[in-house]
Amino acid sequence: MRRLAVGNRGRARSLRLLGIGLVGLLLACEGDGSGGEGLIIRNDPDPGCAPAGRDFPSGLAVLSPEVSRAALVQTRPPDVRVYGLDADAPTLLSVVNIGLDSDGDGIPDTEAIEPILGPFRSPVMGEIQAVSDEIALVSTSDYEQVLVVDPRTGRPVEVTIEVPSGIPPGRHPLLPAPGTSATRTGLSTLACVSPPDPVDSEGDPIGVEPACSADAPSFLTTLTAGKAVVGGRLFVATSNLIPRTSRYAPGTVLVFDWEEGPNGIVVRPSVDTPMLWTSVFNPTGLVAFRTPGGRELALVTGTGAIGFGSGASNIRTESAIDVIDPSVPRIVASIPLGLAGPSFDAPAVEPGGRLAFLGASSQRRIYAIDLRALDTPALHARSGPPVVLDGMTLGFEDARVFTADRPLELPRRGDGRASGACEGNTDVTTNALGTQAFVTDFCDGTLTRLRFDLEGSPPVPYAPERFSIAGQSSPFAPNDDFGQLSAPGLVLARPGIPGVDFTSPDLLVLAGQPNAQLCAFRIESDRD
Amino acid sequence: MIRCVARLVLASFLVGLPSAGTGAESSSARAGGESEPRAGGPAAADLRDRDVEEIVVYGIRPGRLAPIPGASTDVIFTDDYRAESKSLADLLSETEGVRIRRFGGAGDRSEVSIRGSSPSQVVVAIDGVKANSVLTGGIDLSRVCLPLLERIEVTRGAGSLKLGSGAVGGVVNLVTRSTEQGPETRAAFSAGAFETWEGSILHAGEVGRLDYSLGYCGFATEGDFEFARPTDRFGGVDAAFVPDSATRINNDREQHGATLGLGLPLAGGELRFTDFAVFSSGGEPGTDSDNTANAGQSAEARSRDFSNLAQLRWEGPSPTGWGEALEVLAYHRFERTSFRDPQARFRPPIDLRARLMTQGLRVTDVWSPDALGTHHELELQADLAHDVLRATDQIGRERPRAAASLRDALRLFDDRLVLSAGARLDWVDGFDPQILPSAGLVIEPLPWIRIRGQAGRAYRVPNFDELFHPDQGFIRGNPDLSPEDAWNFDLGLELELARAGPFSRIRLRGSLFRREIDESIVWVLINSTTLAPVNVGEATIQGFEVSASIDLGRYLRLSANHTQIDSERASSGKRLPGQPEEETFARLRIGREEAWKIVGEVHRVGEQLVSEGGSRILPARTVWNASASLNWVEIPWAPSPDWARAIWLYVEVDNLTDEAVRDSLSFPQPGRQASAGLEVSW
Repeated sequence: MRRLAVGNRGRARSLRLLGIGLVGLLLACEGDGSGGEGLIIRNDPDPGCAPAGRDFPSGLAVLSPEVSRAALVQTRPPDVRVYGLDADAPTLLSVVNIGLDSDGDGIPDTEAIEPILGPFRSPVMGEIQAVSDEIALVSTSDYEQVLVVDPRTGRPVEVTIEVPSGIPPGRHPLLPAPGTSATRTGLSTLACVSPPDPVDSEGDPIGVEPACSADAPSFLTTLTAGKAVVGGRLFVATSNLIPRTSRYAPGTVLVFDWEEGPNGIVVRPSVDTPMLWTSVFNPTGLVAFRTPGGRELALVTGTGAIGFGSGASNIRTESAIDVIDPSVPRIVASIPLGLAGPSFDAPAVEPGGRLAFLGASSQRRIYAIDLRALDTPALHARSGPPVVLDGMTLGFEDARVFTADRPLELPRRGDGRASGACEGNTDVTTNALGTQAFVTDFCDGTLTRLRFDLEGSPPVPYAPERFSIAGQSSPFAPNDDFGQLSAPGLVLARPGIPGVDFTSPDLLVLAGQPNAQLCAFRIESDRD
Repeated sequence: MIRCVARLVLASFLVGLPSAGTGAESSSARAGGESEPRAGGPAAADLRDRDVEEIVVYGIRPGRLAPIPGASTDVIFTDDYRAESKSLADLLSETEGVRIRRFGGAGDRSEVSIRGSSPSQVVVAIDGVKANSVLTGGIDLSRVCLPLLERIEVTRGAGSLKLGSGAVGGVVNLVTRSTEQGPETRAAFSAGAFETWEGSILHAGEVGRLDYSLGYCGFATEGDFEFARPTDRFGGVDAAFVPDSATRINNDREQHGATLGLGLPLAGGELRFTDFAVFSSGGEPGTDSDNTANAGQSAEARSRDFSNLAQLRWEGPSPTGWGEALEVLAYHRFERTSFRDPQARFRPPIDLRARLMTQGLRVTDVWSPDALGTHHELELQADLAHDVLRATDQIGRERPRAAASLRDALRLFDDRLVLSAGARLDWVDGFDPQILPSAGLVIEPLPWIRIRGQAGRAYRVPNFDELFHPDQGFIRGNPDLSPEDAWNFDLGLELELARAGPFSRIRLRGSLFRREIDESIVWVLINSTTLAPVNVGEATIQGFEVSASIDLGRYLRLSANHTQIDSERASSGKRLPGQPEEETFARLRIGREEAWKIVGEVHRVGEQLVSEGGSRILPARTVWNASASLNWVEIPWAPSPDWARAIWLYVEVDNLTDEAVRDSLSFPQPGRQASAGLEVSW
């Protein structure tokens, strides 16, 4: 062992101290990636499109021509994005993240839900419906609620939630206690419910949810879906997928009183009719409309139980459209569609309220129902179970136009690039004049124009001959054409008359692959 | 704070000895470079100062792959990076044409691609035997402990002739330590950011006629680094997560690796047994995807895996007299993996376990006949292997495979011209046999200049996951997949000058490459809810690589490389994702290599597309690293034990400017991190 010379010891001691300090300083430096310019993701969208985030956006609402904006909901990050619609491509104006306390109850969402559903829950964004140009409703799941936002800006809107004292304690675990009220930006749709027919979509009995009941079959609602404000009420569908399974519990539509006044919006869970039970499993889309006779009604799509996949084999149970009379409230009628597997979006009602279209979640087709059948006074004057409008109930008309047994099939993509393994997934919207419908197909990437003639007073239901394919374009690639803009989903026609109320593109389509984009098309709108 | 105090205590111990000064020159130290190019042609001028011990060599040293004439290759000696906090992924990422994609920090998954390939298109071998998972096709580089390796051989755009399916991008061969460098023992220990601890001990020696080497490597980390979350920007509008930063949770990892090597002269040759085992266990936080305080990470998902590769190899003169060198290799690879997530969102809890086994036999015969006035080097090889999969979520699978290959190399004009041609007939059960031809050319008109070219066909059979992933609704396999099919072309120029003025060991290289690939296998959304692999159309990847290395005296070495890659999918004209268009690395080492060194590195990675044809682009980044190392033994006035050959102390800081780094949009990497360590050899 070599010995240190005396003359070097002092130098060694001071250098040692320096070394300790240096190493300590270095080792204490654990960075957090906050240096530099940050992790800024640049977006370079396709022509005519604007970036819409990472994954398939969960919803889109289009506002009036006076506002000329659209509000889009994205899941990652969870936010509401507002686009201007005056240019040839949508223009991103603002993005508002829902934050850690989305409902404004003063408690972070994950902390609020943990005592009920366990840890690691947070809102998963769903659909958006515009009640007006100033108010839109956004569904979230996992943390079941309906958020209230201003679709012109994306910012949350406070509403007053009053829980009547007649509401049983524990029915709405995340609403204020019965007899109290609170100001919130989100309305909890987590509810304890006990179905009258406690059987799931596989035919097995529904168990007891300890958080809801000691002995009665019960469950907590899940998968908040479509909603609509009509007749002074708010209706919210919950699909009730049983957690961590592919089974569904009986579907519900939660009922709230909705009051808009000079002091803002007041929402109250209904005491008399807290929920409606749908006639089939998996209620999804919900839309309010006015019949030709002026009656305000709501339609809720019962998609039925479906699996992961494509084609007829993916559809497990029957589907139907339930008709809600908000004045009661009650489900007054059910229009069976068979094993149709309609799309999860709200039915597309033509402006005159005569006809509603639905897309298909697993096949390349669309369905339609004749809404004139709902103007029958006897339908609303009676009580009891819903009337089945399939032509088999005496005194009531058959409202079915296109169903699983006689769908309106769409043509395949005609340029030789039709999708291989995907059998169809369509969404549909109608134009403002009530003469055309526009249908996207997720698989083929096509946009099909459908012409329909509802003029005159033909018998109910409209004959299939009144519908014809007017044309098809392929603005997107097939879903398996890797690397190209594809997977169109939700399609919406702008309110107003193209070329009269606005001259910018009149049709909006959400495309999901390879990155989400909101694309605009001129179909009936003229250029300046 | 507790973490910082603990490190201060450790730091005090490490530097509790008299501080650095200049030291006397140590004896017989190797003055090797950071990487040694091997063009595979005539032996290049050996620029390394080395006391050469006479070793009788039959064919190629065990574990190493024979250089492929004309191919672009690199050999990285791990000892050139001793006393630096380097991982296998680090060394590969600093090599031109090689891209490392990381999914986190130390202990987190990292994958290799070569010249724009996917990770499953690179064969990673251990001592010449393919180590890629037959389930997923890839390999996690974080499972390989660098101290257990002696060298890393990188072959770009070639390797199918020797290793068959999977070498579309190339080959990375990891050679474990042996007794070649003589008896030695070395131990190392380091501590670093995020409670990362690493230690290794290696011993090589001889007992009579038996030589042996033993190695152990342990690693543990909490991995709980803070990270900045991405912000989408368009038209001046930002979309960001709340909060805008988060901490990695459930990211701990514990890992143990070991090697064993035994060699014994037998029947005129050498019988060698090697074993490489790794055990790893830790958390799997998943992606950062949410608004919550834990950013949507999984707090309970865990993984555990154990793998072992055993090889028994005899190498010596052919006992039949047919051929000059015969190698017979039998190997067994075993892997057991498990993944559990009791809190999987929107789906039932996950509990998956799988066992993978591969048994194989390889026979290689080499002889050097003279025919037609020319000297040939012929190599004939035959392979048999059998893969087995047993998993809890699917039925068992088995897949036999076989191959035979022949390569001939002609050496002309005093080895100034080497022509090589060969072909491999490769068969995998369930697929048609494939012929994989290749050809190479090396021209060395002067000792300091080399021109090389190489072309060859490569293919990749789909792995078990791609073919047979169980149908879980949202994801499934595709048994109708066809193999990927590619042609690689490569042309290069290399200059090596021992000295030019004040500069020495000057190395300049440039390569042009092109790959044409068809039937690439990619996972796509085949309907609105289901992900499955499909064969997609043709794609082209081409580019160039340049590298340079130069010494100035004994105290300064500068090396740098740059890779430019242009890729295009024929059907869309779009660029392939996950690969930056350009990547540059530079390294400056100051100091006398055997005594002390200060190293500075800069690594610039260009923008990357997040997904193919997509509109979202990860930003370019520049990362700076610095380290300082000192060999205590070389300090003349410092007390040190006589038995020690070297006692290295080092400190390193990576990502000095604390950049936010991601190779994948959903997997963060740590920012600035420091480490300190100690390496002793005797």
